[in-house]
Formats: sequence, structure tokens, C-alpha cells
Amino acid sequence: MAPMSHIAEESGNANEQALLSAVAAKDEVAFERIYKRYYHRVLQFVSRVLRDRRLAEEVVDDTMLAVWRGAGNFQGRSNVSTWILGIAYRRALKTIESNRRHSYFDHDSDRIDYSADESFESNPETAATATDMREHVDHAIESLSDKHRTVMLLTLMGYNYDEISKIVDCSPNTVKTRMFYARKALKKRLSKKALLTMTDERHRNAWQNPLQMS
Amino acid sequence: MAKPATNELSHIEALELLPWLVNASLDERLSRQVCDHVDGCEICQQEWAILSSTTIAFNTSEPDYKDVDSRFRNLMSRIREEEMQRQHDDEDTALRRVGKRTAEWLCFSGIGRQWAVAFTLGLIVGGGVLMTVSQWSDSRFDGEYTVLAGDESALRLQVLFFEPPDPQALDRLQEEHGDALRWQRISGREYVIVFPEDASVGDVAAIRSELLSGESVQEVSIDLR
Repeated sequence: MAPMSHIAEESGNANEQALLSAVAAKDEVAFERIYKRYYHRVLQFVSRVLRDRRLAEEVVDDTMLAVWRGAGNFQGRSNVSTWILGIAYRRALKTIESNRRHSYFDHDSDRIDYSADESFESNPETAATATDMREHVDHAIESLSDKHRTVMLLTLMGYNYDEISKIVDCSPNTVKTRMFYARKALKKRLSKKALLTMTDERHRNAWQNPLQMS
Repeated sequence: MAKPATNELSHIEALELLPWLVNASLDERLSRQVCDHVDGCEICQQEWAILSSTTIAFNTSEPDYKDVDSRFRNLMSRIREEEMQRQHDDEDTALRRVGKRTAEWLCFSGIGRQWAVAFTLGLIVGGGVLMTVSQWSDSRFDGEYTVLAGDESALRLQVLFFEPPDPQALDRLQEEHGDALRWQRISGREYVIVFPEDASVGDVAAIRSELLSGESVQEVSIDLR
């Protein structure tokens, strides 16, 4: 086993590729670093795709097992992060498929009613707090269809459309289209209260061209 | 007809690219084009407000790190078990392959198919029994792990600390257990203990338990090299 203590902790794709090469050589210390670096990110993504924390933890373990076994197959054509999220997404899809056969998930997620959730409408005049807002957003994202939710999640996690197209294995234009409809559905699904807060004057005036600012 | 080259994006194009302006993943040229459009478009500014609020709300959830260490340890145990199982399966497959070849060879030598099958089955069952007995006699189980007899002359424990350990603490541990026990530093957090040739499995188990009972050691595993 070749210890990887010489590899610094800083992120960066070159550094992560070096860690992955060490994992391919069965270096457990390097694998532990990859695991800890990606555990939260993969769990955050998968638990929202699956909408089930216990299943998500199993998928994260399966994903990391695949990383341990398949690190030697990584060819560097994408970022390490994109590669790992791609594995996680495929595992999550398999889980959804196998659970649908056992009627665990909805057979047709498009049947979900996108009308706003009344439970969040108690007092639309009051501005939503940060915690409220997180709940509103989580709730609205959860109600999107599988494909729309996945693209929405990956965008919110900071991936660009090229990376998302590699993770979900479709064209960048398909990603843009899915995102367009996901946003439309999200807006329908967000409560009036949340939308009022998001689009109030204060928020709209917050727009400032970031390129002009820098 | 090809679209004329222009620096301006249409409203639809800008609207489509807005999520990636918000998550700051567009290249500089596209960012500038989308920004130029949003500057003068109230609908896009409203969309920007919704997307940026959604992004902020989504990313404010607390990271869940509380059981990541134990999950990693469990995964490594699973990996080790599966690798041992795979090794065992490979041996089984090899045995079956030898059996099949033997049966083919016997058939060709003309002793008759039934006799060839009976002889081969006998060979496989006998081989399987021999392998099981040999594995059983080569291993001893002490309640926590199995040590292969062939590696007993060079028993080694891999020790992974949470933090690089204090050298004085290592010296103290070595003093308590006699000078014959040697610590080898592999990396900042990773050490190997080499036991003397006459150390018993019980000695190894005792030290392993002692190390694991402290708070500084993350993992102790047998090094079979």
C-alpha cells in the first residue's frame, strides 16, 4: 500500500485525480479522503433523488464501493466529481426501478400534482424566514418528476450543463430543456408566500451584474 | 439558414441560461452576454431573484458528517469480506474447471461417460473436503479475526490514528509491551507494529483491543504481507 500523505488536502481536479490513482492502487488512506470529501455531496444528491434517507445511504455505499473497484477505469475525460455523481445517479436510478417493481415509488411520477402546497399558505402576507424558505424549497423540489428534480438538484449544487449532461447521460440541450420545465414546475409548486419573498422589491433589486461589480 | 453571429442573446436563450449564471458555472463570454440581457430585462431579473433565493435556501442545509467515520469503517469491512469471498469463489471456479477438463479427458480416453462423471465428481468432492480441512487447520479464530498460520512468523498490525500520534505515547506503549515489539511509521497517521516471532495470537489480540479502546486510534487491522 502506498500511503498518500504527500497529497495535500486542497481540492482541485488534478489533486483528486492523483487521489483516485492512489485508490486504483488500493490505497485505503486515499480512499478515505475521497470518501469523506464526497460523502455529504453524494448523500445530499441521492437522498433528494430517491426521497428516502435509508435507501440513499445504501446507494452512497454502493457508489463508493464502485469507486474503490473502478478507480482504475477512470480515464480523466471528466472531473472526478462528475464521474462519482454519474455513478451515484445510475445506482439511484436502479434503486428507483427495482423499488417501483415493488410499488415503493409512484409508477408515473408525472402524475404528481404541481399545484402549490396549501400547508405553506397559512399566512402568505408574512415574509418567509430562512428556515421556512429552505422547507418551502425542499418541499417544492421533492415534488418535481425524477428527471426534472435531478437536473434541478445538480444545477443548485453548482454543476454546469455540460457536466450535468455527462452525469445523467443526455445532451446539453436536453439538460437545458429539462431545467426550463423544472423551473416552470418549481414556480408552480412554490407557495405564494415563498414566491412573494423571493420576488419582493428587495430581492429583485439585489440583481447587479456580477461582471460589472468585479 | 445559419444564424447570424451576434453577441446578443435572445430573451429565451438568456432565460434558459439563467440557472447557470446564478450558480456561476458559465464561461466568461456567455456570462457577459446573459448579464447584458438581464440588466435590461425585468422578467429575467425576477427569474434571477427566484433562482438565487432557491439556490441559497437549498445550500443552507447543515452537512451531515456525524457518522461518516463509522460508515467508512463499515464499508471497508464489507470490502474486505467481499474480497475474501471472491478469492474463495475463484478457488471454487478453478476446482470446477479442473474437474471439467478431467471429465473431458477421461471421456476422450474411452472409459465411458458415466464412469468419467462419477470419477470427476469424486475428485471434486474429495478436493473440496481437502481444501476445507486445509483452510480450517491453517487458521485459528480468536473471537475477533482470523490469522493465517503461514504468516505467523511475521505478525504485523496496521494502525491508523485519527491524528499523527505523540512519539512519547508510542514509546510508552512500547515500554509496556517489551522492546521486542517494534513500531514502524508509514505516514503521519499510519503505523505498523511488527511483533516478535514468538508472539502469540493472544498477544496480538490484546494489543489490538488495547489500541481500539483508546480514543486516538481509528482502525487496527492485520497486515498479512
